[in-house]
Amino acid sequence: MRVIWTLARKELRLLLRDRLATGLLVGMPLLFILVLGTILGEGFGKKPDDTLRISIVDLDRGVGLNGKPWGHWVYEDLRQTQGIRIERIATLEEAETLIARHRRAAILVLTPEMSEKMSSCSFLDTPGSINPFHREGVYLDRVGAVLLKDDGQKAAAAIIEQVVQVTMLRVILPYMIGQAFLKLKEPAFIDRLGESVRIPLPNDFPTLVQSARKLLVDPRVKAARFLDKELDKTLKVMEDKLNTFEPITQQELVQLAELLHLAAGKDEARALDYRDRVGKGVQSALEKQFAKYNLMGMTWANLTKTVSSSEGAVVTEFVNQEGSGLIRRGSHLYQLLVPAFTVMFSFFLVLSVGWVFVTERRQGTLKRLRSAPVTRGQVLLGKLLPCYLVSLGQGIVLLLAGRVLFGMRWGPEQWSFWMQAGWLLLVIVCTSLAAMGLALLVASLARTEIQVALYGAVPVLVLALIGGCVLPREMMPPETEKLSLFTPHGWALDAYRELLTVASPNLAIVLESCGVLALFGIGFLVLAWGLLRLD
Amino acid sequence: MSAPLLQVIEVEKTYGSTAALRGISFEVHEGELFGLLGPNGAGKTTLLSILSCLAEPTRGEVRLLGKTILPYDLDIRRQIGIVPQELALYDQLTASENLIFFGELFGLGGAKLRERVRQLLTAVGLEQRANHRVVTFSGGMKRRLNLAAALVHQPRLLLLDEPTVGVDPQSRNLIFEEVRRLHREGLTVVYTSHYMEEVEALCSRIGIIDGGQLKACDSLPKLLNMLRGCIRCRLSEVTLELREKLATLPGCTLLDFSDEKIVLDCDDVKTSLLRLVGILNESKIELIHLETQEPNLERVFLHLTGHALRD
Repeated sequence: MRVIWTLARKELRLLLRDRLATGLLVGMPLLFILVLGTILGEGFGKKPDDTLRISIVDLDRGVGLNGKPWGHWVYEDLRQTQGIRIERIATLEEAETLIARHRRAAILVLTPEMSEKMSSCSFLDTPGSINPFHREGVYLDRVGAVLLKDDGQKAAAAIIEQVVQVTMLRVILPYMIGQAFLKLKEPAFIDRLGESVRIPLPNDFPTLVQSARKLLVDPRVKAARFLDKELDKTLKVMEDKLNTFEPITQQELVQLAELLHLAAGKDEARALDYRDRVGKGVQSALEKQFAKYNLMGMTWANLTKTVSSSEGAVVTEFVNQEGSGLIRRGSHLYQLLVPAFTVMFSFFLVLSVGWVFVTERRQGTLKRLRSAPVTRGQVLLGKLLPCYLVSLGQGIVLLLAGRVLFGMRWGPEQWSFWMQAGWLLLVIVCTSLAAMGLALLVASLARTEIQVALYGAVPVLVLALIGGCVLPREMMPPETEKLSLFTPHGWALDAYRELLTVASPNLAIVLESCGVLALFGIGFLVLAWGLLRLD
Repeated sequence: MSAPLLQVIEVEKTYGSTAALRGISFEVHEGELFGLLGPNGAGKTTLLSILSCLAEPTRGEVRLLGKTILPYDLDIRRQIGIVPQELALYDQLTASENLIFFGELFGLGGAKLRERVRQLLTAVGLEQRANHRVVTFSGGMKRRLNLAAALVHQPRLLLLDEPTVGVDPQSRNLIFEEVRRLHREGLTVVYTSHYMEEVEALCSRIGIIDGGQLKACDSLPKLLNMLRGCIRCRLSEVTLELREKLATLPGCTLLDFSDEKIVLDCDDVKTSLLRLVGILNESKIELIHLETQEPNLERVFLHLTGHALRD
């Protein structure tokens, strides 16, 4: 063990004494992370989404339909729309920033005045009522809505606007129809109806009135009325009615209002009752007439008497993943970039290890080592141990830098710092094991610096590409995505992704990945042990 | 004579169909400074690889202190110090870090090791550069440190494989002095070189190796005795009387006696030359030109192998 430590200490000293190389081990990945973190968009590393995203800021806290703000009903309508994705944004400032930075094509803002304005929408041309419609759809500003648009993404914004227009129509129109339907019972409408509706009297009615009038002026009837007081009283009433009816017998058509008036006579209560009945009658008639619809439904679903059969939209809360400042510190990108380049550059140590062996051979010190009382295993372990420590150090420093410089999270927020660090360390340990196994395999095959570069750099780059270090697997075609599982890089990134990007990591996945990485490492080491020659 | 420290017995080494060593046998005794002289590609390095546990002979055996040297024998490695032909040092470590590292590999440590390192650095003239990185050293300084690295664990047998290749005269002298000092202290040394002068100057016994075969192995005088010296001279005149006198010179053979020139083949050039001068004085004959040729390793090598050392 002492000999291994002697060898390891020497290698470590040599590795660290080359400050430029040591600096590059950490500096290069950090530079890559920094550059890519600054220039890449937030969609990097995410599967292309074929659903339309409607971003919404709901500031409406007023009282609208059924005691709830109109913003709620707009949101509900969008939520029940299939094939779209709703993203809720908390503040207007965030929305404006996203538009200004061209991160969103359009964002629907439901202003605090929305409920008040929506409630004022009406088909009536009364003071204070709002007509929200125009030829193309709805005046958004009239209903307290604003669509923030990015001038640089006009096509995408136009599509979003169409979706918004349809939603607004679906929300406003049933409400306005319902409101209008309710108006049918109101006295003002009945009065207007009474004035407007004229109906003809039965053909015999004027003749009947005239005949009655003639009857009353007949001398025999007059004599009878004189003799019989009761008869006189009855005919008096009849005479009054004839006086009332006589004027309308002159008209071809009679206003409904006049008829109702005649029907009610001077009885006000009866007059109101008749008018109410007319209102209800009209409503009932319309309901029967348009039986497919519930004209008083107030919502699109009630109006159309349908139930949504789709699963509706996917709803997500907007989380600012873009970070802040020049390097976009805290950006979600770093959750992907830091582990990707940590893994990629841990395997670049393959070259260093290969060179350590080749240099030892070239400068003749291997001969001296072999002539010393040192076994082959001690020589190998003495070389691998420091490289392994450097690999661990590299991984730890990069993840620390990711946290400190780039504001990267080390795991779910509900986990303690030590729990986060512990799981990440496990992944680093296993990744470094796989990397060192591959390093020894390359060292066992290469005899010169050029061979190390060829046997080392080419596989390391190809594995990094396939494994998803350069292009995240989510962005690869499905066939290529499966290929990454044949690389240690792919498994390492699986573990990191589970720990760094998932709210509640599945630790079974992390353990499985670490297990496979360890197997990769052991497999490479066994193969290298058989192939490596120190002479 | 003491028992041999190192025994090389019928050692053969082949790489595929190429024979690098062909039945080499010799012995090196405790405290001996043994030279292995041969041209590049003669098999010296291969032989040293076997002696230093880096390679196994295809046939034959090597024994150190009576124990067969095997590549996996860690204990026997502690008895051997090797100075490889190439500079086996870590450029980015300092001189003392290099020596401490190699010392620790052999199980040394602590103050004892640090003191040993200090002594060695002083011995090879690098005490002022102890904490300087090797990359800043000259070729000669590196060679000296290369030697020190093989001595840090105080081996019984020191193997030097062409330790002065590419070395400046000053460093070469320092290396020679250190090797001589080690020899004086009783260390057994096997010194390989293709520089005849080095082997002549340092080694008490020399093995001449060529084409994987040991052509001769003996002390320097005995090797030189394999050949005779030669005296060539031109005289003012040559007479029959002179010829008779020269023919009777002990240990000499008259090879040529024509015109004014004579050629004598002799066992001992110096003695024969003194006698020749006496005869010429007696005969009142003037010596116009003199050329002597004593036997040396170069000629011995040529004699044994049929080609010059640096062919």
